[in-house]
Amino acid sequence: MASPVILLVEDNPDDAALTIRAFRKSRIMNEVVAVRDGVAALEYLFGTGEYAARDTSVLPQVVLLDLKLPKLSGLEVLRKIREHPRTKLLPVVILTSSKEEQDRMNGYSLGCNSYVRKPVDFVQFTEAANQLGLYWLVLNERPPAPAAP
Amino acid sequence: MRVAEPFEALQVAARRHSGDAPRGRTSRSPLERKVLAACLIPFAAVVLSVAAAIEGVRELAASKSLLHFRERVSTASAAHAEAERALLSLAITREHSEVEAYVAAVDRMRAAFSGLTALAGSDPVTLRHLQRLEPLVAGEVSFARSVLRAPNLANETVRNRVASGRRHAVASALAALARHTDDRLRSGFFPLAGRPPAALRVVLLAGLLAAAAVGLAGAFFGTAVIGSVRRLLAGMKRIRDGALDYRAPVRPRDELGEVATGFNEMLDALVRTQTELKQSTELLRLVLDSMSDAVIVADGTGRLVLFNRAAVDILGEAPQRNGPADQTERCHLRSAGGRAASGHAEPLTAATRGCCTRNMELLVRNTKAGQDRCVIAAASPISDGDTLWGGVLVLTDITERKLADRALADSEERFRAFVETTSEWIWSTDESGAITYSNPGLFPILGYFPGQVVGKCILGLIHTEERSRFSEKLAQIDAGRNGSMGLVFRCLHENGTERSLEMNMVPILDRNGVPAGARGIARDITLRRMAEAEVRKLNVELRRRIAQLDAVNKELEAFSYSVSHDLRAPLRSIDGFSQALLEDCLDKLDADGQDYLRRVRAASQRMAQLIDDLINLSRVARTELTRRTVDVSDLAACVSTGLQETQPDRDVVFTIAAGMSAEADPRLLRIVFDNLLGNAWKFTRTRKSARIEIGELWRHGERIFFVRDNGVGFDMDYAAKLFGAFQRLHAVEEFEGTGIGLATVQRIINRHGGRVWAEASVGEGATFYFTLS
Repeated sequence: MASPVILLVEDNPDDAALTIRAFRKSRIMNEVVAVRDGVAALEYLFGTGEYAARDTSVLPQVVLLDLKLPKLSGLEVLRKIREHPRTKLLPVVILTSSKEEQDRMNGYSLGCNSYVRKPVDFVQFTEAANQLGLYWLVLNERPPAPAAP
Repeated sequence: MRVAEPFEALQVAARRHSGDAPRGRTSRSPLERKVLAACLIPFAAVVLSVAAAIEGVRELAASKSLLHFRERVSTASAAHAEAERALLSLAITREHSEVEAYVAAVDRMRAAFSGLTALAGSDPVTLRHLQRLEPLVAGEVSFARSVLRAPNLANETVRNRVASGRRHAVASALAALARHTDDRLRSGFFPLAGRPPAALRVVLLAGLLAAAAVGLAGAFFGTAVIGSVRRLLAGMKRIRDGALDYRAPVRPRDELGEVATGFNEMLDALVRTQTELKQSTELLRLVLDSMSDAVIVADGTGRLVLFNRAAVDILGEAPQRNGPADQTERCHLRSAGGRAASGHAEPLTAATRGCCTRNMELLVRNTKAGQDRCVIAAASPISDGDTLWGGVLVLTDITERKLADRALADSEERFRAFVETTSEWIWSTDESGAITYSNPGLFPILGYFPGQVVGKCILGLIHTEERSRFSEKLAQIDAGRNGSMGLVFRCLHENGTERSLEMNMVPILDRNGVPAGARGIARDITLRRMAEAEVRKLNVELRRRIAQLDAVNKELEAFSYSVSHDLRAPLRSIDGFSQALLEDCLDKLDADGQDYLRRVRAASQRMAQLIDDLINLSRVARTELTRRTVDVSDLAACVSTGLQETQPDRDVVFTIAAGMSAEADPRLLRIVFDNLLGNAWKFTRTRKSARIEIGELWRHGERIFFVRDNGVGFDMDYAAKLFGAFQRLHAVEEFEGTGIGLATVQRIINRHGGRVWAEASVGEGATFYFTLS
């Protein structure tokens, strides 16, 4: 079985590239699936649209979710994930530039598992990605797989 | 109230009557003496009569004895005469038989004589006669014996004897005795001889016994009478001593019983009268004590005999019964002017002299309260028929009424002053709407003097368009008997301009509750109305401005969000890819190229910091202030601990005053301390041993917090620039920073209504002070 997938929902290609680079720098070699907007994230998770052929029984190890996304905002995506029985226990880490209190409040209210602010300093950013990967891919035990619908 | 005990008089009377001298047990009352005398006199009479009877009986017995004596004398005389005759015969005849007769006669004579001595009694003359007779008789007898013994010789002897005349001596002696005895019989008196007879003793004894019985009965009767009288007297004494329940013992069918019954009835009547007297006295006392007026009664000598509770209340103490003779002094009476009302002017004294006083206003000293009380005094003499007995003084306390009158006058004066000086127009009308009163407040409001409008209809002052509404309102408040508040009418000023008056109106109700007009108070609200219109206009404008401001704020928020989120992303790319270049293409870059890339990174990071600080600054302005009690000491300790953790190798001593607290927004205050302590931390970096002190001090009743450090300080010439945004007093190379921290601090302090300032000198450290309203 392939190593677990990381789903990165990020509209900014620079940020996506830097995030992936940070993972690689941290020797996290898991596959990182990067999608550009909220709709694509949901299609990936529920095997619809572009990802209709995907085996939806395999869920990513963790979802790194930006809040400011085209089409469907990060918080909307989070709500859909938590609403669906299959994905409701899926670990979701909000990774964003915003440190607005309102955003943090909404994110935690909708059931995010972590809230991480992207530092401007790339060294710090790399360190953050390193710790995220280490935590969510190594230390954290996944929730039990929900019963097949 | 004190009333002299009515029984006292009775006691006094009883005492007077009985003379009050204690009597011995043996002394006799006149009645006793009389009764004793009455007993003794019949006793003596009986004794005397019995004695007389005895004497009579004895005299009778004596008479009988004398008669017997006389008889014997006669017998003796007869026997002697017989003997003489026989002797004579003998001398003549010499017959022997004559001797015998002679001797026999002598014997009889002797026999008769011999019993006489026993019967003679004690009469001395008789005894003398008998003594003289005795030898004569004895001679005769011896002669007779001798004759008998020698009858032969007798002739001569007898003759001699006859011739001697001796015989005559005996006869004459007997005759004398007989005569004397006859005299005694005739005189009826002669001494008794011998004891009375037995019957006489019985009579005597019976007489004595009867006399004793009479005496004893008299004594017994007398004692019984006296005993009853004595008991009555003892009862009287007990009654005098107050034992009214005493009743004399009554023996029926007896005059004394009747007396005792009468005595008891009198006693019952006395008890009844006394009870009634007590009841009426008690009633009088109750009535007097229940009166609110003081009643004081003095007798003719000026002695107080009665006063009621109200008198004690008014005087403050019970008037002394035996106090000074002057009633004025005793009752602490003074004239209304304060001078003592003495002599004839004093009502009670005047009353005891027969003069009436009515409605005299006086002052009474209440000794208990130490205050004067104002009273109306009335006094009347009390007379019993023509006798002036004393006087009664009645005091009505009018102090409260006086005070109330004065208070009322004061109150009226006060309210009059209020009404006359207020800037409101106060008016009243009669039922027809004619003004009956207006205060001077009318002039500044509508330009009329009160005198110009009194008597005129109030509608004349109301704007023509408002008159019907005004009349309607007046009718309404009359109908509802209820006031109406805050009515606004347009009125006409004397100069023809229009004025808005706010009126409160109440109906005037007469004694029967029927409306008889109205009263009102009116305030000129013309200016206020204009001001209100202005305020309304301003409010509309304000609301518009607020809406605009809200929109601007929203835009600003969106802008801030966008800045914080979107401006950071490119910076991150710049920094990230610069770092990537440095890492991946290090070998292709020379030292300059690497330096440039590092500068790019530094600049992008500094810009990110600037963005964060700006966002913070704008957030401080936007977030709502929520005050609560903040433990400032704890907050400072928390921030200082955080700072020490960032650079554990630094030697910085924090001194934090204990127990500091403030009413502030905890999150914003945290930002203040973050900045101030952060600055202190930063600017003491060059100090080997840094000291940072956080404390509070009080100046002019204001609490001032301060943060003092021994860092590099600054030049006070630039202190003014300290709190401006982006203002820095140090080069970035020397001390990093964006110049926004103190601006943020100032904004937070301003939002709390406080002040912030700093004192410093270059190289000496700096102290930042702030207050939190």
